[in-house]
Amino acid sequence: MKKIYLHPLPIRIWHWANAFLIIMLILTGIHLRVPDITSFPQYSFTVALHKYLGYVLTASFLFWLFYYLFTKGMAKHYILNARDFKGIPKQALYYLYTYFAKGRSPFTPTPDAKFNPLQKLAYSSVMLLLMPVIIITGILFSDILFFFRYIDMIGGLRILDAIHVITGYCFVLYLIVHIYMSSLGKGIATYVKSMITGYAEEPDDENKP
Amino acid sequence: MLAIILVLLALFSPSLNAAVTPDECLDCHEAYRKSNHGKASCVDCHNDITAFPHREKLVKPLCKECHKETSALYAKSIHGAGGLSCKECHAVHFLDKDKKDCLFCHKKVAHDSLPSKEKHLESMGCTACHGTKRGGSAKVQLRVHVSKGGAIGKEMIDPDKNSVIDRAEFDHLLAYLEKNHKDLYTMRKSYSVPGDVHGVAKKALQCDECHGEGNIFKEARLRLSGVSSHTFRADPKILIPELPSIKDYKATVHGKKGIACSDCHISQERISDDTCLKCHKEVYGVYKNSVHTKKGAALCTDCHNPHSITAYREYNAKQRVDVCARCHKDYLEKHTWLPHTRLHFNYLECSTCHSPESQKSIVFYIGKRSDGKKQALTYRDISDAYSSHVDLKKIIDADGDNLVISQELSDFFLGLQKKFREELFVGGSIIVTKVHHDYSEKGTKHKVCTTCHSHNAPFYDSMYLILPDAEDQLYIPVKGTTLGAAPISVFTDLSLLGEERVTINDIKMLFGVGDKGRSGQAPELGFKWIDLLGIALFAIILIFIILHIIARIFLKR
Repeated sequence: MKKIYLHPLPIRIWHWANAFLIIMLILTGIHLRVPDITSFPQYSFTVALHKYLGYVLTASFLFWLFYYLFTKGMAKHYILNARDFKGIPKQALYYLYTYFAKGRSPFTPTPDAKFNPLQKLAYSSVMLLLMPVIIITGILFSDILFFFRYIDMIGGLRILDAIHVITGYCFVLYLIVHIYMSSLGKGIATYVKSMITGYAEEPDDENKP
Repeated sequence: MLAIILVLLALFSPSLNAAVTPDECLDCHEAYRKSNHGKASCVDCHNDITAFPHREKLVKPLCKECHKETSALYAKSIHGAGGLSCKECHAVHFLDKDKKDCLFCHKKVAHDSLPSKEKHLESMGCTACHGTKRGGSAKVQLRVHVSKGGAIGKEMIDPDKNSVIDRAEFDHLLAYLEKNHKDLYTMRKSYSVPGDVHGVAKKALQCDECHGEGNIFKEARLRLSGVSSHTFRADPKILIPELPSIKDYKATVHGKKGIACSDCHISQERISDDTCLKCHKEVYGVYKNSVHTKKGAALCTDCHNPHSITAYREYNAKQRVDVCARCHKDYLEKHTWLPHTRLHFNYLECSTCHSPESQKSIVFYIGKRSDGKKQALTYRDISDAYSSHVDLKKIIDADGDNLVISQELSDFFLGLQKKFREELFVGGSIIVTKVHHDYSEKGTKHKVCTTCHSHNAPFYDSMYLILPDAEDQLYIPVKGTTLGAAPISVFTDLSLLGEERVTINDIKMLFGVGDKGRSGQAPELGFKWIDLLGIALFAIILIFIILHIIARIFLKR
């Protein structure tokens, strides 16, 4: 059993920081949306916390973006090519059937291509579509009067809110799937461990979620 | 025959008593020797004396037989109607003696409610304000006496040579005198206001009758004396100052109710709360023990301007904040804990939190976008669009049952939109529709956001559509209509966090088993569909994961 170094340290740090930020933003977001769900912390505190966590998330996103742009990992790991599209049904079938039939995953990660086609689809949707949308709408929310002209162009505060919240729901849905699928390794914690140490075991039948 | 003689006797009786001369009367009534009543002789009034000796008990002479017009006027006056006879003021036998003027009875009339009291009382008689206007118009004259210096030419004073001094010319003259004849000129105004003392009315002349648009001074003169002497006619308005707030006063809430200047301005001092209290007793009862009065911090007039045309209820949230901000200038600094401070104050007024017992409402208004700016429609916009006077209440409440339903609202909006070229929108804010004047609640300890940020917030029970009317604003209750059901969805400008909470009933309704069935869901759901969809997807994915886990357990993966 050979170990390959899949996740460099900066990306591991980014991943866990990002995880913490997103969970906190979801929790504070729920409080924002349902103010009387709890009286602790104070609502005004939650509003401020959500805002500043959002700023940190923006910084964290920019770090991720520039890291992958500079290391040229973006195209390798995130951008779907024609072969990836063909691989999607096979990969989906693996999780629904082959996995239980104790078959091999159709994809083996390498430092040059870490993610299987389904992962690529999910991660690129989250990082290149949802993340910019929620960050931009969040920034517009940070100073409504200052950005009022742009908010008005979108269709008003209510529409901005709808976009932000719908994107937020997408994050929640993505998060539960992501967490569940992280348990589909050789052992339940295999993938989590590899995201901490950076090393993935090889060769193995399975892949990361 | 005897009858004819009697009639003739009756007809010629004056000529008979004319035969009675005053001298004959004075033979007995020595004391009346110096009596004078114009040219009237004794029997002109005591006309039942036809021969001597006359009856002991004579008929009381009636003044109105000669003084017809004056008597008629007097009968209607406060004095006549009050039963005072002519003799109370006039010594009828000695008109030139014992003259009784107003002060004879009205010795100590304080006139404290009269602004510039000394000036008014010194320059005009009682009848100027209290008498009936009769016999010519009021006149005012300004005499300018210049004691030294160069001559002042006529052309300098009246450059347009129309012999009438207007405001510009007058201002120019004053500036000229101040520059070239400083301390060498005096000015004195004199007034002549005809007023008949017999027609004293209950109410004196009101301030605006001289100091308003209906200035009773129709003639004015400017007379220059001293080094040069000229006389000009002048515009009376430059000599009788117009009160600054009198022009629009009739349009104010107080003016519309017929409240006169002197009803409130009982002295030249600033209006005290006692004045307001005369009418606004109930409100004052609440205000009296509140923080504003306890520390003597604010009088009624500190917040309320009784001369303002715009009623408080016509103020938008921002204008209402401005009222408090006159004293509480640091309100933004004090509210840094409040996220989006400025934004909050655009949609909320201070009373929302600081007067907890006030009734809060969501108010909708119709606005238009012009030049990229959003503005609430004014009555003018609407009358221009309809090119005539319109009563929006009649248009919106088409069936006149005083109840506006959803259908009427949508018809109204569509109809209104057709009339306007610009894009219309519905805006909103949260304002207090019934003010409770106790502002003792500082609210700083509580800072409870959920008072408003909750689907239970009080203003969801009180919603109005405000429409401009010719004189006021119409408050149309819209609770129960589409507008009221999903208020926040209607105006996209305002997003109130926490206003919507998905309830079991919403889910039931979605499946057609709720109170109102599926047909009512679309307008009632508003933006709740986001949460409904999110929760549904969450549940589906969770079920899927659980199934996957079960499969893993059974297949030992």
